[in-house]
Amino acid sequence: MDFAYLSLIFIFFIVSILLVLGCDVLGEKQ
Amino acid sequence: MTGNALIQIAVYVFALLLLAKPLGSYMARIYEGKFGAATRLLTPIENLIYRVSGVDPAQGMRWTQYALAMLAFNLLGLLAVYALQRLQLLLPLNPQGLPAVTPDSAFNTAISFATNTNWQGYSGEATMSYLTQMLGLTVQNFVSAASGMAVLVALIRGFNQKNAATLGNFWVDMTRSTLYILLPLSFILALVLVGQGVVQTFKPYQTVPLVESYTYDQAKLGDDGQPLKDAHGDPVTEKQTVTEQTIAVGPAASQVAIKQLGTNGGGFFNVNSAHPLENPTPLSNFLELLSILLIPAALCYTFGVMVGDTRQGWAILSAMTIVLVAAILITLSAEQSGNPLLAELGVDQINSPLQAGGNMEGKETRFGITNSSLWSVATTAASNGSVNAMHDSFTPIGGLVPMVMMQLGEVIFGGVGSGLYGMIVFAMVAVFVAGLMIGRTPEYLGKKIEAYEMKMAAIVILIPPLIVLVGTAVAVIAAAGKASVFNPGAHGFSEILYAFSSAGNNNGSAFGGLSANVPFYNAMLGIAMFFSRYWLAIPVLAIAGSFAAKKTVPVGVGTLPTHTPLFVVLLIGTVLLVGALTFVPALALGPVIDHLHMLGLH
Repeated sequence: MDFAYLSLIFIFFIVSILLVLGCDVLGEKQ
Repeated sequence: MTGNALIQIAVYVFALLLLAKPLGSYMARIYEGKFGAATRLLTPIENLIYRVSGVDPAQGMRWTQYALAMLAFNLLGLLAVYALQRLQLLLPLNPQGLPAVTPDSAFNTAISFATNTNWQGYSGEATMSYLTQMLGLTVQNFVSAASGMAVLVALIRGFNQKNAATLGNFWVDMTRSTLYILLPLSFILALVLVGQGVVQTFKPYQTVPLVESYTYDQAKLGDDGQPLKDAHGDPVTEKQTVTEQTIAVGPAASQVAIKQLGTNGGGFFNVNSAHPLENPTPLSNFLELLSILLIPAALCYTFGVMVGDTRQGWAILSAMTIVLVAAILITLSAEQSGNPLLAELGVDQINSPLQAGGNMEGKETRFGITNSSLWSVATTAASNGSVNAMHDSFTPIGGLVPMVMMQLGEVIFGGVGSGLYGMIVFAMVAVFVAGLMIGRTPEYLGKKIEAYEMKMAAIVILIPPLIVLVGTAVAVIAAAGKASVFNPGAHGFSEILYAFSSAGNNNGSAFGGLSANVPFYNAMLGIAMFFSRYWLAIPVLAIAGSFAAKKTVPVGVGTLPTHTPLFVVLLIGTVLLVGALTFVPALALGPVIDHLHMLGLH
């Protein structure tokens, strides 16, 4: 179970990093 | 409402506003690097931290670097809290030999404390070792609050800078928030709380003889663990006499101080600030209550100082205070009015010298209706979440108000840093809406608000309701969600809605009544807390980066003044309208129906 919950935490952070990059790309376009 | 209650509310609000300016100007000086003689004593420690961690304090960060640093720091904190909980049986400072926390609860608690939510599915004294409480939870109380303050400072710098690429250094803002603001304030408050009787010790739990023993009937269990029944089907009982009691103790004062000041709210003990060793006296209650809103209020003044116009800070603080006072008065009135169903049964609910009157269910007699109502609104206005009464036992309207305070997005004071940056986003929306209505250029504090900023603001405003409403919908449909509800009907729905409103706005208070320490709620609420924290901070930093890169537009005839009473009204209207439009349907299914039932309308 530890592996499942830790994986979930890492996935959350990865999608959050993607949000940072996405917002940056959107900002660059404008 | 009694005169005594109104005086207590007035004293509280007056003390809060009185302290906002001195603390706010102190914090502005810290963030601007203008250290006084006393604060210079801590400078060697600050420099040592940078040297040891290899940070160059002079290096500015782009908003993306700032956001990634925040995420990396929070990831490490989250993993540390998770590991501490899972390994606590093998680690020192566990005199009770408490076992490892279950993985789902550890997941929920790690996210909860890293995100400044402090939702507690567990019972502190029965679950967490002293080491986990101190090194895991208390440390996160400091750094999660400092993370919020850092993001706010970055946003303020976005307003200040012209054609700039950087927003300051995340590590410097984090370190200064913790070292110069949170630590000294917490140290002083912890000492005062210890003086009032809040416990602070490493001793194991104390077993003491009762002054008066008591006897009760306990059901006898069979070999299968089930209650035995006699020939008539009645349970077989045996007399039990209790002569001693175990009193949970621990290093509570140091945790309680930052729990209040950092708008964290996670209690050392299960019943939080209703516990006599966590909140023992009227003075400790007042100080803990004041600490909830102290830094969020003062940060408004800090904002004003740092943007070069303190009227801007006062305008936002005024808007927050007006909503806060209105909410306190509604809750107090509902709780003091009591329950008409009990009045029909002949229960005397009138306030008199002999009793508080009103609805005292779920409230500490030490604090009564006024201080319970005041605390419930303050703790949900801020994203604090500590409680000194059980909100589940409030009247339906008394329970609706704390729920609404959270659903407004935790911007009425809100969390340290996060409340104000959320409110600034609402101010941008207010300016934008005003601009659309009357044809003025949408600009705020000299920065033009364009499509990109509005897209980011939309993310900030839409994420929490999305999480709260979708989470509630899933929970009331899923069998695992319904299994934890012991109050079927409207009140059970309120309990679920409250839980998701609390997690989805990083508040952390619990309505109670919902059995939330199960894998379903631990996972669902953990997800809610994570995204409502970081997916708001990221677009706020994006707005900061965008503003910093823009030139500053001088104030002209087309500029909407944002320090006037008119703007305060516009800001309050924007916050209430967004909150009302989003949550009224859900509230109608919970507390509103509850209220109609109480009035006898079926």
